Amino acid sequence: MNKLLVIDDDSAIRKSFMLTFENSGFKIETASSGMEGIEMAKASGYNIIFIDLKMPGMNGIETLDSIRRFNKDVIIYIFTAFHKEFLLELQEAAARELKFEIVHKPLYSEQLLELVQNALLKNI
Amino acid sequence: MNDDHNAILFRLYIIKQAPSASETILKLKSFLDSNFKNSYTLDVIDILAYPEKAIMDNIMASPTLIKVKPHPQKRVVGGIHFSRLLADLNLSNYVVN
Repeated sequence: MNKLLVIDDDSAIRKSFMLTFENSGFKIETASSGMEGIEMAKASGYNIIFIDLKMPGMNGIETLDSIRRFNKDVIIYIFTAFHKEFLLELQEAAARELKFEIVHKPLYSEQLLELVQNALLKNI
Repeated sequence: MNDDHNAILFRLYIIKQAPSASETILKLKSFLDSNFKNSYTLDVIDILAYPEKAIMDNIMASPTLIKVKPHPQKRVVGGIHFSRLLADLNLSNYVVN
C-alpha cells in the first residue's frame, strides 16, 4: 500500500488529508512539526511527503533539506501560497538542487487525489 | 483528422531549476514533435518565477501540462504519462502521421 506523510502544524490540514484519503487505498500518516516528520521519514518509507512551507520552528525548506540528506528519491511536495515572497525561498532551494514540487494551498480533495495518483504513476 | 493543427497550444508549468526539469522538457518536446511535427506550440513557464501566470491559469501543483487549444482546455497534474497523454488531453485526432 502506498504511504503518504503530511507534515503540517495546522491540525485542520492534517485532518483534511486523513479524511481525503480515508478508504482511498493509501495509508496516510501525519506529523505536526518538521522535526517529528523527519524522524518519521527516517523510520519508515513513504511514497510521497507533503510539507507545509510555513511552520514554526523548523520550516518547510529546512525540513525538505534534512529529508533529502537521507532520502533523495521520495516525492516531496511543498505546500505554499503562490506569492512571490514565499516562492523566492523556494527558488533558492531549487537553485541548491533540492528536489521538490509545489502544491497550492488550499487544495480540494478531488484535486489532491488526482495529484497523488498521477504523481505515483509518473514516468518523466 | 482535424484541419486546425496550427492551433495546438500547450503550457507546461514547472520548476525550471528542478534537477529533472531539463529532462522533462526534452522528453515532452520529443513526444510532441513525434506526434504533432511542427504544428504545435509549447510554452514552458517557471511557476516560481511567474506565480501570477500560475494563478491566472488556476495551477494547483507542479508539474502541470495544459492543452490550451484546441478547446476544450484539458490538463494533467502531478505527472505526465506519455502512454495516455493523447487521450488525457483529448488529442488523438490531431496526431500527424
